[in-house]
Amino acid sequence: MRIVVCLLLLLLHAAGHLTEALAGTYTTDNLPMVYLQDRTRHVVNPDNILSPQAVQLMDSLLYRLETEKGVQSVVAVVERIEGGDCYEFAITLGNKWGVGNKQNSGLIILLSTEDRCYQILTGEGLEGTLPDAICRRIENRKMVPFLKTGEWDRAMTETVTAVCGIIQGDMSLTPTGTDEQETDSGLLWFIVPVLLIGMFVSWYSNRKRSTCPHCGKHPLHRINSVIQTDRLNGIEHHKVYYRCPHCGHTVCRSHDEPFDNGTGFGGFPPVVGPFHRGFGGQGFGGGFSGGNFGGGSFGGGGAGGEF
Amino acid sequence: MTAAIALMCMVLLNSCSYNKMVEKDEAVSTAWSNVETQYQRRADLIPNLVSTVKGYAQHESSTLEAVVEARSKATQITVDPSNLTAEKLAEYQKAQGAVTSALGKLLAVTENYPQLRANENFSELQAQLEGTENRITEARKRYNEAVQDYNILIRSFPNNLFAGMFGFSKKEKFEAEAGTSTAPKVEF
Repeated sequence: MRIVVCLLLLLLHAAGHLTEALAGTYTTDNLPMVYLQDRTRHVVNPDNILSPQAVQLMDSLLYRLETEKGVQSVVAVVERIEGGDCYEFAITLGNKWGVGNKQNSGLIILLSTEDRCYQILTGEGLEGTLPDAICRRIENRKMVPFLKTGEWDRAMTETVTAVCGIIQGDMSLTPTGTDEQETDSGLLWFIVPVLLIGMFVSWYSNRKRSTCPHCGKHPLHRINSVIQTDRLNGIEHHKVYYRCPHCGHTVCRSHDEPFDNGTGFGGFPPVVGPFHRGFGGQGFGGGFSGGNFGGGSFGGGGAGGEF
Repeated sequence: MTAAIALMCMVLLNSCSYNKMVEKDEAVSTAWSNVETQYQRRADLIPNLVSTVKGYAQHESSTLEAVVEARSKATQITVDPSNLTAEKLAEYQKAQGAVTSALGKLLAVTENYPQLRANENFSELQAQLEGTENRITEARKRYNEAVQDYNILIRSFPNNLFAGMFGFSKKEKFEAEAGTSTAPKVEF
């Protein structure tokens, strides 16, 4: 089961890469949101315009920003975007994925190198921390001079560093704006013990039934079963014989059932049973778990331009 | 007997959808006040912008005056969200549209003043103005969505039978007007 899932994932991954390579122009649908696979990655760099060092530096800054200030961010650097308008693309992207948590403090920084446009987009809760004028100032001082010379790495790292610096200085932003996640985990904390207890009880009763009452260690083997029908009283006597392979002790368990004349329904299907198997098959691949966008919304704040 | 049950069902169904109508009506009011806030924000930015431009471009007094005049006209018109009639909305939209086109002309004219464009203060003001225009677009879009939600609710069966009785009438949307969606024409 696990192997099949892994193979499927690999195939999907490969297919995704293929379409990316073919597309060239990104839409808000096919832009790979790496954050969803790995919550430590905020920089989307599908065309490899940025160097791995620059991506790593920004990822670490933005990861810190999310853990310390609750600002969920996406930094995307691509060659071409659909429509060629950075503002339109960024706001559609932000509202579509819901970048930002309940404080609405989402942040999107977009650069399209062939469309020659850039945009810093602030979520509605971040407009006070990063007013449009400040975004423009950062762009004027840290971004545009390097964009003009084609130093993408420097333009983006300096911009991200400056933005992070301002946000870190704002004391009103708190890391926990994620009420939703808390209630989610609250429910989880209720469900998990209940399931665990259920599993344990069923496992224990199964085990108790199947151990030899004589030596108390070894599982009993079923050797024979007899059904005697008592048509007069409408009862079936079921007798099942078990033997312990170790000490040879034999057990007979009998129970009565109403005589099944073809009209009755079968017993209820076992409910707890399938859970045993269901849980074993699950498991996440190694590495970091994916993130969730918290449903933040964008009202059009921020600044952008062309170079 | 059957008729009585049907009537009961109608009343029960309706008391539940009445609350829905109130909820959607409030959503429209909220969206409307957000639209007005954003337009007000733009109006608040204008004096600052005008004084900055004046310092560099003394010869553009007519363009500047047009902006100031359009602004003062637009700020006089406010619309109560409970009274969003088609005429009121059209009047409001016309006044704000005049500000948009006057501002567009002013910004186009500033292209001729490289010193002004190099001024960081002006650049930041311009960013604020652009951001505000973006917010206005977004607020109008959300208002239209809220109105659509509301209209669909009150016009669908069986709510349409009761909506008028409780005073819920169809509301008007913003319409894309000629002149705001297209870039302003520059005349010299």
